[in-house]
Amino acid sequence: MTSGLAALSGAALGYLGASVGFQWNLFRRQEQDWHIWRNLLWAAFALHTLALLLVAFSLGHVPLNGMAESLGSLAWVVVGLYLILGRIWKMEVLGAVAAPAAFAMTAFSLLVLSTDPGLNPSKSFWFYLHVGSYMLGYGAFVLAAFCALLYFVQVRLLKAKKVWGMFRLMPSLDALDRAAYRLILAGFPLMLLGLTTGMVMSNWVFAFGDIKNQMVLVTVCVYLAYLHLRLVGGWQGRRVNLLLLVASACVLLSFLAPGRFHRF
Amino acid sequence: MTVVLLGLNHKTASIDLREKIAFDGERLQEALATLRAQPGVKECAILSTCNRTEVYTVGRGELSPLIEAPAQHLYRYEGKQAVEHLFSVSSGLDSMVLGENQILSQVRSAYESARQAASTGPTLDRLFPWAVRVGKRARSQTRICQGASSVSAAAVELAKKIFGDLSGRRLMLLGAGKMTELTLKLLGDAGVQQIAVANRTAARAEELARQCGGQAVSFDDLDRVLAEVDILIASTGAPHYVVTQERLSKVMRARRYRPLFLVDIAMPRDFDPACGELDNVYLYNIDDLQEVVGQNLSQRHREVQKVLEIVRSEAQGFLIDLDSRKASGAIRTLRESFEELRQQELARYLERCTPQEAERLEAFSRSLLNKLLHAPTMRLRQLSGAGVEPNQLKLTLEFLGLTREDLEDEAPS
Repeated sequence: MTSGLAALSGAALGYLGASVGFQWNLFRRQEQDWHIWRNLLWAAFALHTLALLLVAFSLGHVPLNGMAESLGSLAWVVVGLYLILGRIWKMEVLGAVAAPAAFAMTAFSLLVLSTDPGLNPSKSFWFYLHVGSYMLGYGAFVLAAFCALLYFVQVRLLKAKKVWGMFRLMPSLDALDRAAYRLILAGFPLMLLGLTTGMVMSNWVFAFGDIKNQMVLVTVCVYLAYLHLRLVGGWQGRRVNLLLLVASACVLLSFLAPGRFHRF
Repeated sequence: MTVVLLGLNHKTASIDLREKIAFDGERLQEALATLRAQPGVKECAILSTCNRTEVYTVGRGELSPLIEAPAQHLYRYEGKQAVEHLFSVSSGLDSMVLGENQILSQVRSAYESARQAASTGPTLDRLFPWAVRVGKRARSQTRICQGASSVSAAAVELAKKIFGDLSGRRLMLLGAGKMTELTLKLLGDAGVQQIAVANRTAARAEELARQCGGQAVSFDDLDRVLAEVDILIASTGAPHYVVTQERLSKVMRARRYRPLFLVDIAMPRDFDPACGELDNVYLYNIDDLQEVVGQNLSQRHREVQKVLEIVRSEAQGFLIDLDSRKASGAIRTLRESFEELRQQELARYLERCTPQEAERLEAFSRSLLNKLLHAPTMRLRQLSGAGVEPNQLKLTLEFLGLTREDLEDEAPS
């Protein structure tokens, strides 16, 4: 466990370093050094993977028990998705948001884990499938929210006609819009899988009185509305991205909301 | 022998003078042949663009000028200054629009023409490709060519920032203003294919549509077409707003709020400025675009110092390289003399050796020779790099009994 936490600390430091680097690049308005911070992020990600494996071996279960473990895994998913998709979609600038978020999540996870190593781990396969698919889906949602966030920054710059400096480092509006859409398309089925496995665990009884469950239902509805407007309505641009940000806020609330039948 | 440059450019001479001295096509080849025929000229090249005519020569003695222009319009640089000047030119520092890219291909084609005329030699064969490399380095390591430098290019750059890939995007021309043609070409290069043209006079719309391979549409169909296109360039001569906010608001609903990029270059304007406040509408008028260009150019000006540093260090590097190459003839002579000795000695011993021994002896002697000659070779390069002339190097070798008569001819310059 100690070596796992040490590796996690290393990963957190790496994320912090990359965050500072990305912000510095944005401030200096230069893109030549993106690769340095990306490589640092890769190194931190590798360390994070090692940390998760070490923690898993020492605890004897996948680190998805409790909020701290899940947040650590969520950070890992977000960084992994960024490193792969950011490269393919040529959106290195997303790292300026993804790296600080990953640092915050990892640091929180580290803080809690070092004081209170999760107790009574679940032995159920359904539990790990339930939380695992949620974390994968939420990882995609978090990155989609970052795309939407950058979309608004870019819209603001375009409307204010300040189309130099930082504007240059940003991807096109269309690229951000499509990236967010694809991430939601990938994340939504995973969320539904998480919901279904949750139902399996509770013998197909849905506790409507549970605040967490209520929030998850609201989140599903908002994402459904987003997908409907994009797929059927053919909407693009500011309004659907605003809806996406609302959905992301719902994800956050459903993550934090207390649940009677949930560990977190 | 040193590089000499004689020339004039947009800063020193007016267009009237520049156009008289410009060389192109056959005239360029003739001029190169004339220049090459001069007794002192060993190598020459001419860089002739609309903004400059520059003659680069390598030779001995006073070269008679090919450019006949009053002295106050001409500049003449030698050696390091000439090299630095060419590197500045290829980096775009000397261009009318700072950092423009065209000059790089012009430097390349000036070199190609000189090569075709067989007027280049060891010096210019290194100088011009080096200049092209410096130009590329300046552009990749600084922001000297970043951002659009013309209003048309700025419009296209913005369109790319909104829509990403422009292939398959639809364009509409409202009116046929003077800037439209260049913007059309740039947008066409970026992949825009479907073009609709609307004009008050149907005949003019038909004509423009034919010219750009688009489709003429009636002015009455404006709302319908607006709901379909992605980019619109407006340049009508209408004395009032053609599209108001209210009208565009309805159009946006019809197009399900897909982003719309409006370039209003009409004077007076065709679009109510309030249209720009609508969701997903990006409205830029001529002043906005000019502001973008101005910002880009001032950004480029801030990069000049960095480019100058690159130019200076590259010029230094080029001259050191050139000097060290002067030693190549001396080095070859040295090595050939020793190689001859080695072969002679080997021949004496090889007769009495088995094949394995012969092989070992061959390897040993080669290795020994390389080791022995390493220090003198390096020293010759250093001396040459420090400015010692090839004939002095020759004297050194003569002193050691290692000279060959063709040494001087083999030295590059």
